[in-house]
Amino acid sequence: MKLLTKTSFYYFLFTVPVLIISSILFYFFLLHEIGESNETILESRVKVIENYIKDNNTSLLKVLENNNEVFVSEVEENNLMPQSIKDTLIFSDIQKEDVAYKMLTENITINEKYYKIKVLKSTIEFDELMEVVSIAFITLLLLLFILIYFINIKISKIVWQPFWFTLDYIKNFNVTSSPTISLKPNNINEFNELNTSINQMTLKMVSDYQNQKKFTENASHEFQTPFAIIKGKIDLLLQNQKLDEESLHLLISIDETTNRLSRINKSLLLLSKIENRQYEHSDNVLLLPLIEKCKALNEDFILDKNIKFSIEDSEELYFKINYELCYILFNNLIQNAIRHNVENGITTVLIKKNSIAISNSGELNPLNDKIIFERFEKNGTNSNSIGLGLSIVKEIAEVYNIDISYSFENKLHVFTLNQFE
Amino acid sequence: MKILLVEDELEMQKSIVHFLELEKFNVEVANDFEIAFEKIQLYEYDCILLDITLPNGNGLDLIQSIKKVRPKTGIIVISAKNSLDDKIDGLNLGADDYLPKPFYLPELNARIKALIRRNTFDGVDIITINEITIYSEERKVLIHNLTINLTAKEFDLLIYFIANKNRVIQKSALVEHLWGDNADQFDNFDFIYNHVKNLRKKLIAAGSSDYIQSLYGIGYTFKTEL
Repeated sequence: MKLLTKTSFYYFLFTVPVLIISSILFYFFLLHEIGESNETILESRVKVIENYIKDNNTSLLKVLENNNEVFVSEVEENNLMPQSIKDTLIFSDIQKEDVAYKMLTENITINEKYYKIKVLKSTIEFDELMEVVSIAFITLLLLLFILIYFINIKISKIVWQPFWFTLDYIKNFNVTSSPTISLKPNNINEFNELNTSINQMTLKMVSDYQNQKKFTENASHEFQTPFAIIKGKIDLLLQNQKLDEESLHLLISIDETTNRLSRINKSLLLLSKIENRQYEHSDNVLLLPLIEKCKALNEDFILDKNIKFSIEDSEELYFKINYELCYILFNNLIQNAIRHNVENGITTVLIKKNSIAISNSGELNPLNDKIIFERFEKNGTNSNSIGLGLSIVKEIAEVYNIDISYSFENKLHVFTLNQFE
Repeated sequence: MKILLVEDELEMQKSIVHFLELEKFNVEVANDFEIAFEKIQLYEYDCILLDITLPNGNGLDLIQSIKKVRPKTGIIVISAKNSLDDKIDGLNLGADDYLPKPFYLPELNARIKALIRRNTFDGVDIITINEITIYSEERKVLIHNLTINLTAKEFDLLIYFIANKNRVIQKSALVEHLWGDNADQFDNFDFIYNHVKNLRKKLIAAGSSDYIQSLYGIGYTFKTEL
């Protein structure tokens, strides 16, 4: 939900009860005022009728009585009652319904004769009044809402200007590109504070990133050196003529395990470097020569399993990617296609206009495509595999907007890659 | 042959020195940038092994000073930094080779020997051992003065064996030498046996002694002395 919609909604929400309460108050106020004015009118009529009676103007009285507006009757002295005002309903022949009237009854004395005078006046009905008030207030509400909405749009355009600028800045912020430009102060305190915080945060991020970059490299140094020392000692021990065969075998196992550790370390470092986007430089890499290079480098492994390795290209396909990472990406995939292959199997690299597919024969069951790209996920019992190859592939692919998918078609395991803009 | 090892890790130093002394190299050691800098100015070395990360200075700067004072000295950068930049920088500045840690000492040995051969004999690079003569620039091998045909891998193996003659060379060191990082993912190196077996057959067929001894489950020794 947009902020504007949200604020308008709340404006509306809070305006409605205020308007309802004020309309109720207004209704009663109006009712009271109308009642009072009616009473005044009735009282003045009584005075007029009194004058008529005094002047003995019976013809006019007749007209009024015919209109059902005035009733005059003589009464005995002992039947006198005090003045009373009440509301009453009288059936109207014309409207065919009860109509609300206000009735004033008063006794007057003229020339020692007692008269009872009843004066009637049709008044506005409650439901009519309610209707008028409601219509007035709903119209007011709608007008108010539309007005608030448009004012909001106008204000937010002006007020949120620095916010949009800041948002743009954050969107375009890249921790690797230094030096970073910081946000400029503006005249709205809240946004000023936001910008200051963002400036501090980005500064911290950049310095953290630099530290991490350094740490990654230092960690590499710190780990690889002990491995190198262990391996050096093993190489020296192997030259010791006094060792028996069993000791030599033990040494070889130690060496192989050290190699494995070192490989895991190297792969994890590579992964973190890719994640940290430390390989910034990217080239337009033509894939066919790269695939041929991978094939050549793995020739012995291909021959060893007697794999039929073919490359089919119908179009020239380029990836925009760092060359070294591109090599690692495809070499990992091709090595997988060889390693998990069967004797006399096939591996095919198919290059099309927008995609490249690497397929290989192998196990007859499809792989679980939900976990194959997970770290340390190993298929089979290959003790030399450290289970990071496909994670590296995935990581590289993500950085360079390459979509990679796995499918199992015609008993072949297929990895398809295509780069989108 | 005089070698300068610039390395701050004491244990690493000891291993390298020990192994290279088995090969009759005369090895001197520098622990930090200043000592290394001083030694470079004072003495001449056939080969300098240089760790890039040093306590008080960058090894890459040393390359420049070495190239200024002794342009013909071979430099091998040994570094735990595996960032690609290091490798490119090092080679651009004039290092001859780059060996990332961890490495096999026989590999280092083979690289030093290859570098010294290239630098010393001005391209006329001949290795002779008993009846075997190798023109390594032309990748030509003669046995009793008769040329034999070796594949690229067999040739590389032979050079490596001779550089590390009479040493125990483990199988994985051979694999790394021939395939480098590329072999990391694979678990079956049986074909290395085939390459060695073929090389051995070809050597014997041409009338050479049977130098290559296999140590089951461990590796090989190229034995020239009994």
